[in-house]
Amino acid sequence: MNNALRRFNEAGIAEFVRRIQALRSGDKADIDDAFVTDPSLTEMITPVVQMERHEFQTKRDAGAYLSEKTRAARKALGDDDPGLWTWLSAWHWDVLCPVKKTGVRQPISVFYYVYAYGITRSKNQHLLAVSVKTWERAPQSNVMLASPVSTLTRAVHEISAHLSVARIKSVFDLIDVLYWDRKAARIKRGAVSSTPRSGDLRNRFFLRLAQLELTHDLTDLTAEQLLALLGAEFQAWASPPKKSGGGGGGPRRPRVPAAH
Amino acid sequence: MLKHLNYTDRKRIPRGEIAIKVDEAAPSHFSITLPADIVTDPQTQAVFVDITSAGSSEMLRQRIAWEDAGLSCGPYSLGGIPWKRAIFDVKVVDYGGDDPGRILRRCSRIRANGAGQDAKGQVQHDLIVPVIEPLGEQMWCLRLGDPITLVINSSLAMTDDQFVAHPAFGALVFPEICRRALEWAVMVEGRVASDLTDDSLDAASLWLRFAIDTSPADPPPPTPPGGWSPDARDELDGWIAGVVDRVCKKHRLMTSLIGAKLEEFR
Repeated sequence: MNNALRRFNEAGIAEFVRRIQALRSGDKADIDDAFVTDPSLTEMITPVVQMERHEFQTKRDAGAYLSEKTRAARKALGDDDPGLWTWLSAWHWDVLCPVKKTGVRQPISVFYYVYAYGITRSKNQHLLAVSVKTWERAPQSNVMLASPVSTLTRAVHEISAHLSVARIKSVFDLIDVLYWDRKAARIKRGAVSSTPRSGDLRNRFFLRLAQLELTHDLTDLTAEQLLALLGAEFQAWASPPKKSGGGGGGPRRPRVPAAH
Repeated sequence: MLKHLNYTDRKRIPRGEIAIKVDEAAPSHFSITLPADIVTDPQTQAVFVDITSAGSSEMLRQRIAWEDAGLSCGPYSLGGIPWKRAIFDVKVVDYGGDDPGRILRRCSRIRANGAGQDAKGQVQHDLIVPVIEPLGEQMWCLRLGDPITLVINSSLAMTDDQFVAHPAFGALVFPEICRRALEWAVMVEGRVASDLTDDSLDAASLWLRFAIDTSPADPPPPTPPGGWSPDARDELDGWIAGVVDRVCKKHRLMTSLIGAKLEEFR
């Protein structure tokens, strides 16, 4: 039963925070099996789900695995249970906070590991919650899911901070079309630079979407339709269009989304 | 006088022509009555109802089915959204032509009525929307946005309704919310009295209207050329202080608190 999915109780979350802060201060603290299975700090979730520890290379790997493993638990506890998400961070500690070449771990801020720590909005920055929730919405997204699970890239930060755009079904496809360099398998240069550039992700993309939402309902539009609406400023960012099997050429027919 | 420009080029759906009802015996569904003529071409236009819950970024979308006799009344599912918290946004969207997704008609921020309630009273507009979340050692915090959300610490033994109804909230919390909300509405959102119309239902407009209604003899100061700045806002601060003072006097907030049982506020 030591591999069973659990959740931290309040004391468990507080102890995990204490240990992360100790590591951040350069002190020693163990985040090991004894800690993550301590019955005074954790509660087993029923029905029992057996957990393994995988070497997730990317957020996509983590999202796919944990989505499946936590489905029943989240149905019972809700999608926002700090005890569950935080315990998952502790269980996967070696992947989220690996030992560096220097022989030490260097945890980043507490809220990346402890769900909704400090301010509630920080739950959008939790490494595993972001991976799972994005994978469930857009498993194909490269900008969101192709980076290592141990960090949130600037692009993921920016997108997670504008969660309302996730209501637009094609938004992750659109972001990939605009800002993902397929050849280099990385985000395009300048897309999240602090120096504003015409049509960039960090400074312009979300503002333009907000502007469009005053006059348009973007929820059901395709990435192609969204790109056309964004305007000339964004066209230079678009990757060369993929060749598709059919449908090219000829006048476009009006498309009313299928009923839900 | 400023002339209002309809830059969105869309028409309003008169609020009196929309009725959203929830049967309290089956609160997970709603029915909706809409005028049939809001759709002029069912082949290229669709009617959606987007349902959100205060404090959450999740949205449930229902497409209103077109039937021979017009738009179907439902019932439609509310998903897991509690009906009293649900906010409905009705849109008629055009997918034809060269400009797909254009909103032709819209009516926002509608609340449902329980069965048996008067449909005329169904459109409610809340100045603040309370939600309960973990907040550590903070008792409450405010999220300025549309709507303005009051986050109440989930460790408290009270419900959100009990929290906002308690005299301690009125006397100790609400005046500060007033100050911050009005400052945000005027300085950040740039609302001025001449902007307000009957259709101004965004949070900043609702707060400005609340202030004007509370203090009709003391209208907001005119915005200085170039807008308000942190160094030159004495007039604005004075006006906000006056509004807060009148709110406190009107509702006798301190007197109410003195006579209250504070042990209930926990």
